[in-house]
Order: sequence, then C-alpha cells, then structure tokens
Amino acid sequence: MSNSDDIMTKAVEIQELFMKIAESDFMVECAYAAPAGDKFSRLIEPYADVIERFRWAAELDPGKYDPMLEHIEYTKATLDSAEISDAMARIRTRLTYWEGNTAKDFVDNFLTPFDGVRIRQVFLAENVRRAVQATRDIEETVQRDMLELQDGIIEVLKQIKKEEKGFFDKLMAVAKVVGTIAGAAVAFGSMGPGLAIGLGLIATTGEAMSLQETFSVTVEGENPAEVVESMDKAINGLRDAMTREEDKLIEILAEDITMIDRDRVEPVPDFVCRRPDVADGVADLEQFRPPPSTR
Amino acid sequence: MAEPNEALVAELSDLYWAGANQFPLVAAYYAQATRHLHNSSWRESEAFQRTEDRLVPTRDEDVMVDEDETGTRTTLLPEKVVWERPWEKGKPSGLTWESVETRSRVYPHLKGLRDRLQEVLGDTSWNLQITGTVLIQVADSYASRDEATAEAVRETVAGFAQDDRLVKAPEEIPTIMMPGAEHDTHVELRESPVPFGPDHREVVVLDEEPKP
Repeated sequence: MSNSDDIMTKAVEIQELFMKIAESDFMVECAYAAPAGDKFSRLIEPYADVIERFRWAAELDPGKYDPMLEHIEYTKATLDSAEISDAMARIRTRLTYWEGNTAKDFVDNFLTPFDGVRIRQVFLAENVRRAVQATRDIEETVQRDMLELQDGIIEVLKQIKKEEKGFFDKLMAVAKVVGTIAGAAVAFGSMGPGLAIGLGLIATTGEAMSLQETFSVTVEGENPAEVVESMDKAINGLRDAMTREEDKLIEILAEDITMIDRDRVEPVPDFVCRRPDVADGVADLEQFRPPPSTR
Repeated sequence: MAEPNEALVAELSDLYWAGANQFPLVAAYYAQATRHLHNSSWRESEAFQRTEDRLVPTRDEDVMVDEDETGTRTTLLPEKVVWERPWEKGKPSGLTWESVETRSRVYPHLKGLRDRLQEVLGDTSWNLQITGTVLIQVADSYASRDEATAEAVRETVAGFAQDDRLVKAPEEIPTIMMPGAEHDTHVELRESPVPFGPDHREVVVLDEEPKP
C-alpha cells in the first residue's frame, strides 16, 4: 500500500473516531438534557470534512518523478562518457604542429575551453537532477510526516474516546488526555524534527547550498473541538513547511538560471568564422610545422 | 610530382580525421544527451500536478475584467483570492470553493533550468558538427596547395577509414531534440504510462494509440 493510500485510510479512521466521540457526547448530553432537533447535526458538523483535510497530502505522488530522474541520469552519463574525453584527447595529442591564426583560434576558442564547458554542463545536469530529486524528497517527506501526524491524532482521539464514559467521567479524564497528548508531542520530537529535509544543491558556481527546513507539530486538546483545532494548525504547519522548502528550491533554481543566462559559454564560433580560405586567405602550408627531425 | 612531407601529411590527415570522425563522434554523444534530457520531459506536467482548493466568485463585483486584443480575461480580485481551506478562514460571501488542477510552483523554474541545459547541449552538438566540417575544409584548403600532399592525405585518410582499431563516428548523428519538440514514441511497452529509456536509445512509451 502506498503512502497516499495509507494517508486516506488513516484519514477515514480519524473521521470515524471523531464521529464516535461526537456520538458519545450526544448520548451523554441526551441523558442529562433534552436534545434539540438538529443537535446531533451541529455536533458532528466540525468533523464532517475531516477526510478532506488530508487529501492534498494523499494526492502527492513522489514516484512520478522517478522516470524523469532516470532520463536525467542517462543525460549525465552520456555527457560524462569516456568516449567524449578520449575523442577530445586524441584531437589534442595528434594536432600538435599546426600553427597560425586559424590554429590559434581553434585551440583558444575550442579545444582549450571545451573540457571546462563540458564540466559545467555535467554540473548543470546534476543540478537539474538534484532539483527533481529535491522535489521528490519534499513530497515523500511530507507524506511520511503526515502519516506520523495522523498516528498522533489517532492516539489522542483514542484516549479521549476511552475516557469519555460519562459526563462526570469525562471531566475526570481531561488530565489523562492532556498527559497522553504531551506524550504524543514528545514522541514527535524524539523521532527528530517532524519535517527536516536536508539537501545539498550545488549552484553552478560550485558553491554548495542546502535546503533545511525544520518543523515540528503538536496535536493536543481536552476535547474533540480542541483536537480538531490543533490538528488543523498542524496540517497547515506541515503545508507551510512544504511551501517554504519549495521556496528555497525555487530560489536556487532561479539563481542557476540567472547564472546560465549571464555566463552562457559555447565553444566555437570565432574559429568557424575565420576559416583560412574564406576569411583571410592565409591557407599556407608553412602554418604546419612538423617536428624538427622530420623537416 | 615532388615527394610530400610525411610529417605534414600526417598532421593534415589527423586534422581531416578529427573533422570527419572525432568531432561527429562527440557531436553524436551531445545529440543523444539532448534526447535523453528531452525524454525527461515526457508527461512531466502530470508529475508536477497538484490539486488546490481556491475560492471562485459567484458575484460580478468580485472579479475584474480585462479586455485587450487577445480577448477578455476575467480574474478574481486579489483580495478575494484565498488559498486556505474553508475550515481555516470560512467562506466569504459571494465566493465558493472549487478544487482546481494547478502545478507545483517549482515546475516552471525546474523546467526553465532543464530547457536551458537542453538548448546548451543542442547548441554544442551543432557547433561540434560545424567545427568538424570546417576542419575538413581547413585540411582540404591546406592540402590543395600541393597536389602531392593532397594525394598523400587522401590515401592516409582512406587508410584510417579501413583501420578497425580507430574509433569512428557513428554513421548517423541522432537528431538533436530541443525543448518543446514532439516526443518520439515507441509502442512496444504500451502498458507503462511513463518514460522509459535504456542507454543510447530513447524509448518513450505511449499509453495511447500510435499515430497511423
């Protein structure tokens, strides 16, 4: 079962727990006060759309990014292949004695910068891969954190349900519920930050940048209304944390794009424009200077 | 006809060989890299799809209407746009909640970076192909100054072509794929809705009927 399925399963369980507690409250109040016609409807209204609160997290699908990552890996492997290095090395070692303006242009504008340009290109491909991976990690972590959050909510609601045996018992149960909630909050803390995604995204300058959003949530309440309020805050907090992480990712991507637009380097052109028989007519065999022993 | 200078012939032959084989070889790798990268964009907009709940107006006074030569656009007034869920803010009068398909805010930025890389790789492949052609012309140009040298260069290069130990360019350089180009399709693995691709081949899997 996927995380998405688990989130919706737990969402249903949470909704049912809220409803059962509401029913229990209704029964208790019926025993001590005359029920109003729509009292039950009003009692369950705050919990009617509990499931929907979790749907956005369930709809995330980190696995969708895997094919993209695979193809970007192919791109990197192709760019980084030894065949390219070998071919350029063969060109360098075999073209040793060609001199003159054309040769100089070829070496200065093409051969010399090529390796550096290729390294930048591989680097850039790695950045694209990391950005997709980061997007995937954010979604995956949010889903995991949502599941943790749901476990905490279920635990708290079960405690409330367990203690709600009657109107007077309920008053007695408040402290216990709070205690259980505090325990749940500690449990969130002890497993580390609720949402902590550490990513190192390397900008094209080579400067390492990291995404690190730390986030923890607590679900608490002495009654269902308070639980639902703190639950909503926790869900919103999780969503806000996700937004902040994406904002950081966007910032890094924007910086990379700016750098590319500013520094875009392509090996070539001057050399291509100045071929000897087109530009200056200096196609002179003297521009090839073989080693002295063979001249 | 004078005897050609062997070292000169070797150098010109290498220049010719570089232009005819080594540069196209590297260009082919770059062209293939554009294809791999292009395949990463196959159905990417679906991967980044999100569902958001947003308020939409039910009253004319909550929208502004822009008209220009491209048509009429109706936009919810900024102060009326609330992205929180209804249980967070409540539903303002005149607006109703609606689930809408959006995309992750990261998507345009990531696409921007990936597309730029793809353009750069495509440009490099093209430049490598042009440079290879120019090197051949340069070698031809120099060799043509001396018939004996030209003949010797031709023979040497023909020898290179027969030498199985030498790394040669592929017969055909893959077509460079630039951002926005239509994806190639392959229908053998139609059950999979996602891109798929082994090394040095681009196999994008269709989940729909192939074009006739």
